[in-house]
Amino acid sequence: MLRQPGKYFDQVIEIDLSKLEPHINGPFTPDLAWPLSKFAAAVKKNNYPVRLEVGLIGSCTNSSYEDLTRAASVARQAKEKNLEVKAEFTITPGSELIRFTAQRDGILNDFSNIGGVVLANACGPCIGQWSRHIDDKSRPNSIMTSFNRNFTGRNDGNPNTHAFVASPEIVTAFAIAGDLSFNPKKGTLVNRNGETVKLDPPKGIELPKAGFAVEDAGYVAPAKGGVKILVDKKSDRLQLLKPFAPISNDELQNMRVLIKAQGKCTTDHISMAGPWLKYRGHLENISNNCYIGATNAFNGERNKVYNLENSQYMEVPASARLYQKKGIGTIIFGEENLGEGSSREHAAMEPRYLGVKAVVVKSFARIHQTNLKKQGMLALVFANPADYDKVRQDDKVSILGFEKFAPGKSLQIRLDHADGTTETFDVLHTYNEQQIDWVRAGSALNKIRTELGVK
Amino acid sequence: MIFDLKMIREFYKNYPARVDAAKAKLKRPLTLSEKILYAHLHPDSPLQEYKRGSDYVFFQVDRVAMQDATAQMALLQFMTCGRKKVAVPSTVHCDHLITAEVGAAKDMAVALDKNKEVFDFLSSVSQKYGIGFWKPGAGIIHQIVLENYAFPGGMMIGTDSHTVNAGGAGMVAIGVGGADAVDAMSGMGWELQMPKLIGVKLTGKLRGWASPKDVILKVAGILTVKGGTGAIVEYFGPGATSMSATGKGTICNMGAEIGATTSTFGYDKSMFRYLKATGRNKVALMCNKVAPYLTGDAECYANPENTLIRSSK
Repeated sequence: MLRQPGKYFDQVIEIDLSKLEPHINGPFTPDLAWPLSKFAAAVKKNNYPVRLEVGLIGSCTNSSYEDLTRAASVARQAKEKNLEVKAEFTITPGSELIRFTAQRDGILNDFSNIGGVVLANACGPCIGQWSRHIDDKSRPNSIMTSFNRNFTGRNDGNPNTHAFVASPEIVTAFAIAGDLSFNPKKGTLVNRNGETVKLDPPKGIELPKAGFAVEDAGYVAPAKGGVKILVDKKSDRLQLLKPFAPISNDELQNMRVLIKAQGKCTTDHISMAGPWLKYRGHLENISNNCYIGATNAFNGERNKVYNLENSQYMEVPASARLYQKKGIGTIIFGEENLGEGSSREHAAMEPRYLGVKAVVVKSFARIHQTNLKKQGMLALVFANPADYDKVRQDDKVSILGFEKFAPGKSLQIRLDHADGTTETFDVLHTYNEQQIDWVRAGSALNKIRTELGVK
Repeated sequence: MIFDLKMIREFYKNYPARVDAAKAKLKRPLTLSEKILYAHLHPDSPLQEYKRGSDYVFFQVDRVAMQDATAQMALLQFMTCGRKKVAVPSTVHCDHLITAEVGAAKDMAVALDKNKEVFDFLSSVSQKYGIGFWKPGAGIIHQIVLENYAFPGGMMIGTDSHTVNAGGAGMVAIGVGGADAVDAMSGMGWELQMPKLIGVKLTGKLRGWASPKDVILKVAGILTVKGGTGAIVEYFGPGATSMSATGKGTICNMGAEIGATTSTFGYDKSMFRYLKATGRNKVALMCNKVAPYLTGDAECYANPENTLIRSSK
């Protein structure tokens, strides 16, 4: 039931726990909720692979003492009732504290007795850090986890894997059965002796009676002093940052268009994830993905922009570096909601690092706009969105009014076209006094540095 | 061991007066979420009523937690701001770079070898700037936070979407990007649009095979993956107090799956038991003293009289 309760909440839902059934959500999305009583029929109707191949319990979502004892009470029944466990089974403790305590209390033993493999106390399969062994990756297959997310490919990177999410005790019961048409509450299983057996409801213990215990929790306290930061100069994954120099008025004159991005341009277009993630601590290296996913409005292609210095089409980062080498500032233009998606700061830091001075768009996604401001760049919006069309790839672009940059006061852009004509139009900004200080200092962090009196 | 006990003590000393001031200003009963949010206004945002779902507000968070993937750039940036120590208590947790393949021992050895430079860097930066460092193998950020750092009424940010797990201990805990962590660690206010509020009233008691996980699986079915966007989900009612704190954590954790800003529960005996069991008796006793401030006002939780809307399920 959803209620509309007026002033205290925007929406209210009411759930009677006494009537709540266990649920199994999925595949491919966590909001596809099946009550247990309807799950078997759903599996059949939707043709989900009925054999359950792996059950995975634990994770930060579900590895409390209560969770593990409830799941263990189900696992024990497999042994007691002489049941063969059909699916692979893994356990991810959420911390060393819980792992050590569960080991001490025989809980992990209950799992290993049914073939359970205890994985490291880490995210592992829940975030896709899982080298799963499967005979044929093209085969549609089912897994069930007590994790939180089950989007396509999330756990094992395989789009053919149907991942379902349920409680650890339900996952354990299904792992024993190895069959998604099984109903742990009502169904029966045939054991090694050919007898038909039922599972009893799980029994849990909220907190360990003997208290939590751990030998080495894995915590390292901050040092009193004398610590040297360890970054190998040859590392391709880590690189110390140098504070950015403030943008000067001179640099805003006669800039070149690095790219005029067309259409949708999210943070994934600006700074792709996937294989680039390993460089997230190395600004120089990760900058090689700067805007490579964005579509160039002048040719409809990705990562292919015209460079005025060498009169050639180049990859975006290479073009930026060439201009930078020659001491020429660059500017980026874009359309609506530029920078939507993740809040990753790399999407602002990379253009800043590659010498882009300003990003001018029809509209920004708010967080990206703020991130650009924090990096000391100009994040500007066309006063008239149609002015986007005036920008040509061989323009020289100047920003006017920067010396009197003030809250609520628009700046101007002058385009010097290659044919000798000129166009000038207004661009708006949302910088307040503090944010203008960020730009004057080179970045928000530089501003703090100045305030703290650190050179 | 209780981390940052001094900060927590200071927090509970000032918290009731801050909530009272907010109540006096807004002239109405407050939900738990509002109590926590208004008690954490940053000096850049004066005490006034902020419109839910539209106004942007600066908050002063109590903690920052970072996982090892997002921490790298966040800390590289922080290092340039000139501070000798982080401005708020912060922690780094190495949990994202370990690939599961054959089992804990072997997988750990592979990960330690492959990611040595990253772990060494994070460890040394943490040591230098007063950041608590949790080694690879110590555990998953959200569980470590629940076991060691989360405290009822507190507000924290973490550089991972499931930071919201700490709602199980009555916190407002929000998943953010690295840049937000940099703001908080370097001493700036942390900005958030004043969230909308979704109330979930729980009655009855779980039985048999049903568990707290099924509460959030059910809620996800009702609200869908976008239904919680921009909102804090606040759970209350007799069903809420009947569940364990860790069960509440499970429910809050998966609030990320409905897009919620975060989820939270009022302080109750289950949290008292959990704080005690995890070695934080002192925190539990402080909570008992200010208990009414650590849950929503009764008027907010009373049966809403307005029209019922049938849910789709």
